[in-house]
Amino acid sequence: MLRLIGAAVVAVCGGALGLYFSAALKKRLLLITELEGALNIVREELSANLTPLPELFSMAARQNTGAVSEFFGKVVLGFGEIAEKPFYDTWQEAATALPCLTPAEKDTLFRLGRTLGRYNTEDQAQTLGAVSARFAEFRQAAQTRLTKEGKSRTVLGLASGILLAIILL
Amino acid sequence: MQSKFTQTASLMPPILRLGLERIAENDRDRCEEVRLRVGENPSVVISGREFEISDKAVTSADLERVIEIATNASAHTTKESVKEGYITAKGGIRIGLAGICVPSGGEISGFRHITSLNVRIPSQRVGCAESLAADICEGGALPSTLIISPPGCGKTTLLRDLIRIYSDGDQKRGIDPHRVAVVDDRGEIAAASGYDIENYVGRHTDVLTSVPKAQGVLMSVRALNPEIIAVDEITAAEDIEAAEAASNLGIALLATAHAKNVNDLLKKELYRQLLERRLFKIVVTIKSNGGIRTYTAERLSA
Repeated sequence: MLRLIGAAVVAVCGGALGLYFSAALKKRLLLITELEGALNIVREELSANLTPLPELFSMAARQNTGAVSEFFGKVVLGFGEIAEKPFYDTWQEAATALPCLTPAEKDTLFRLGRTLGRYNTEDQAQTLGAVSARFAEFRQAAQTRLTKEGKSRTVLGLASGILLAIILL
Repeated sequence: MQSKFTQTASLMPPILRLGLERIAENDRDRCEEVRLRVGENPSVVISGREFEISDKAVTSADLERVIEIATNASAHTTKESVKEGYITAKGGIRIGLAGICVPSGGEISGFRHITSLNVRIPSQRVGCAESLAADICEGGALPSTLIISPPGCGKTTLLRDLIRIYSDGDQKRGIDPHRVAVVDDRGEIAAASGYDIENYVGRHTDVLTSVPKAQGVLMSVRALNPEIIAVDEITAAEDIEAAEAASNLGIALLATAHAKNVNDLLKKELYRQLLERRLFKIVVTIKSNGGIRTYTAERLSA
């Protein structure tokens, strides 16, 4: 009886591990989707109202949740010490701390940080547009990966658990 | 509240701030400007004379940092004032710009390269206008007054204190309290920031910030029912038109203009119009000698 319970636990753990990996893909997709949306709103607000960045990012922090809200929140805090630390450094640090993003995705955000806060609104809006478009591509890739790998990771995890349980039995 | 010198120093990146922090405490109040020119050592203007504060030449990156700090990384919000050649930072600190401009349709749309900054340290000298305010007062009220001097002699400082006195009133000197509308297009008079007004301009004062002067004067007339309208630096024909509209309604004007004296005013077409239309009853001339300012009020003949 104990052996059977042990085997079931191992199988369930395998399944849970698969679910965990699948959830990580979902979380990543959610983060990229939210970031893309936030950048689009930032672009629209900047172009239409020439809103100062502290106000713009406070709004973005309030309107989003989780890691995206934290990201903008960190950037907003950085304005309080802008005399000591340039805006770009704060932006880079906050982007680096974003979970689940690949180096290419982070590089795209870094590029945006170099343009934000400059004199030319059109340049900023253009870069924001280009970065949003890039994030739309990242989102599609993340969506495809989730569709392809999400279920297979769960099944693979469960199957590995069952296989391990059989071997142990 | 931080002194204006400290506020100005806090706009500098650490490397430039160091030089300012070396200035003796008793000289800080007399500092008028911080001058930053690419390739030259940073300097300050004290009582009209320029002194170097560091032997490390200013770089273009230093200037970019000052602008970043002054605008809170939002240089795009300063577009209109940059066209006029300046940025106003928190605390009413005005930063004059020089460099290579981008011409666009007869005006400039911005700067391609900024090579110099002139950071003007505003001064609020509460009480500096007290005896003048009493001298020019007519039956408890302010007759329309124009303050003139060359740049950097303290027109805005005097204007701010006159606004305060005529807004609060001064029983001892026989000055009644007045409703004052301040059209602060560059944010230097009241230094309004969000809901805070950093420079005290009186209990009965309404401040319109970042609005073109002429438009601000007309807005005040329509909406604020002022007894006095105060504006800094009349520079355009439309400012005079708006001032005349206000004056015709019996509103007293308190304004400043760049000129050495009344004769100098008359040499400039714009200001000649101002005098010919008899918009002002009194012209106050500021003279600065080694940092000491004297005010002379001249009543214009009717």
